[in-house]
Amino acid sequence: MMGIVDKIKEIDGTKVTVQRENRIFVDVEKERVIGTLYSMKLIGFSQLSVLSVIDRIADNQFEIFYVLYNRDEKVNATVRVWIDRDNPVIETAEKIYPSAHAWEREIAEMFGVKVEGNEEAGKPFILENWNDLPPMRKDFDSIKYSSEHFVFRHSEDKNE
Amino acid sequence: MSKSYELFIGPNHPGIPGNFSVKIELEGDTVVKAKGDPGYLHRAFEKAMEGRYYIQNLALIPRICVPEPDINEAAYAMAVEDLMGIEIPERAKYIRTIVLELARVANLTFWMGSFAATLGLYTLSQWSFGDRDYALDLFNEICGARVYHMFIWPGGVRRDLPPGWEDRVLDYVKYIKERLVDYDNIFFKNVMFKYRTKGMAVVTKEQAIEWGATGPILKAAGVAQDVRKDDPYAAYGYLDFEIPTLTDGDSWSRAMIRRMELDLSLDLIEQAVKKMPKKGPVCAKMPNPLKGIVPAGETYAKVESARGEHGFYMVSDNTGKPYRVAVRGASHTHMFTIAEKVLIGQRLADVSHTLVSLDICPPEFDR
Repeated sequence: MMGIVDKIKEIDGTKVTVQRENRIFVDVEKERVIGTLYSMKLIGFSQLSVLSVIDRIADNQFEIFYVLYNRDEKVNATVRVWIDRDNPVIETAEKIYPSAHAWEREIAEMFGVKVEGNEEAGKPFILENWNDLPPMRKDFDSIKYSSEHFVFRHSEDKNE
Repeated sequence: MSKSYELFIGPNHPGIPGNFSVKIELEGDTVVKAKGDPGYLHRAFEKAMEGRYYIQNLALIPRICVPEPDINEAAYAMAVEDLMGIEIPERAKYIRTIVLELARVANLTFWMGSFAATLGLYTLSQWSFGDRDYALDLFNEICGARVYHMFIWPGGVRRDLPPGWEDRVLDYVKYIKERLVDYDNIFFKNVMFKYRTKGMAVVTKEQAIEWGATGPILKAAGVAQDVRKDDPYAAYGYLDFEIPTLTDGDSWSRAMIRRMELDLSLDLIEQAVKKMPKKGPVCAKMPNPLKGIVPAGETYAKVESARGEHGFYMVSDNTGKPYRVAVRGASHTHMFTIAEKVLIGQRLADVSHTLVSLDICPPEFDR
């Protein structure tokens, strides 16, 4: 496994952390994320398992993570990039990993991340006629939203 | 006059696997465009999990995959154990393996019935749905629930097996093996099955890798990738098995891979029952579930579902509730990256069985 760690370390601008056997974290700056993903694919990380977002609201940042898999080395590497929460823009990875297209549509809708180069990111995907904060953000209050938009149905059970 | 027209396959359609819709555009009866339309089943599980204690989430996570709920319990438990640095007892590892494989058998028999039905053979559906029910009876014995078990939990499993349960599991394995002869005769050796699926909806090896396929789609294209073998969890590292593969990548190959997976699962159950320690704890020492704190960190835990890689990306901020849980279901990629491409060029009559041959499970993206 150390061989693959050394190969990742050779990619410019990466900070590599070995979490445990077969699990690696690769932290990069926003400007280098596409180059890093491309380099990761070249060294065998051919599968994108999941792409999503962590809302680091206390730091006013979004953490975008790409879980990749190298089937020859049997190693998962998570590429992580922190972006400004007030101006959340990333470049699409769909040309490197075609499956990123749908994941990016999801993060655009659920977190309000703008994905440049993905023509469908930002168009309705799972939600319908949504006109509030993106619902997976930490500052979206789902209880408040429900109480404002839906009528509470009282139980017909007389014993309650 | 427009040459093409649009049809909605689902959400109410006998050939759609769940509450989901695929919008297809046709010219004549040939598909020229297909687009998945999710959202009918979305219950915001990921959001809901952030507001609940780790133990409370056990009631939510099995519902992320109805036909095979146990994979969610296992991946969730593994993620929590990873963050807490907990090693589960040996007996718990084997019990998890047996439960997960039994769930896979239940799922695969269910799938076979669905697949045969989309090809017009309803007899197998009646048989296989009935045979799946016997597996649900076994789940009922260990946890009091047939479909959503909440049995695998952080630290091991909820309680030890009832007396004689292993023997009844082996009886079930023997029964299914005998039934598979009938299944083969009526379906897998059936000319109709071969005629309708050979060379259909091909995903080549290069495409499967490029598009990010896992599970039977990847194995049917010739890649022996399986989490059970490549990153062993539960007791899979102690068992002797090989991953089945085929080469053609068509609908027929995907069905046959699942048939071979069924044999493999039955074999794994027998091995696990034989090798399982007869006594011992089934859960590691865990803190009070309503007061326990999971140390801060991020991790990705994955298992092999009947559809492919199923994972939980979990983030803890050193509190009793997860900060973020992202669920990776194999169907996400299989629908929006693969099905939307391979449906193009199919005839309308083949759309349903193509979707089922890719085993799209809507809760895996509506989560």
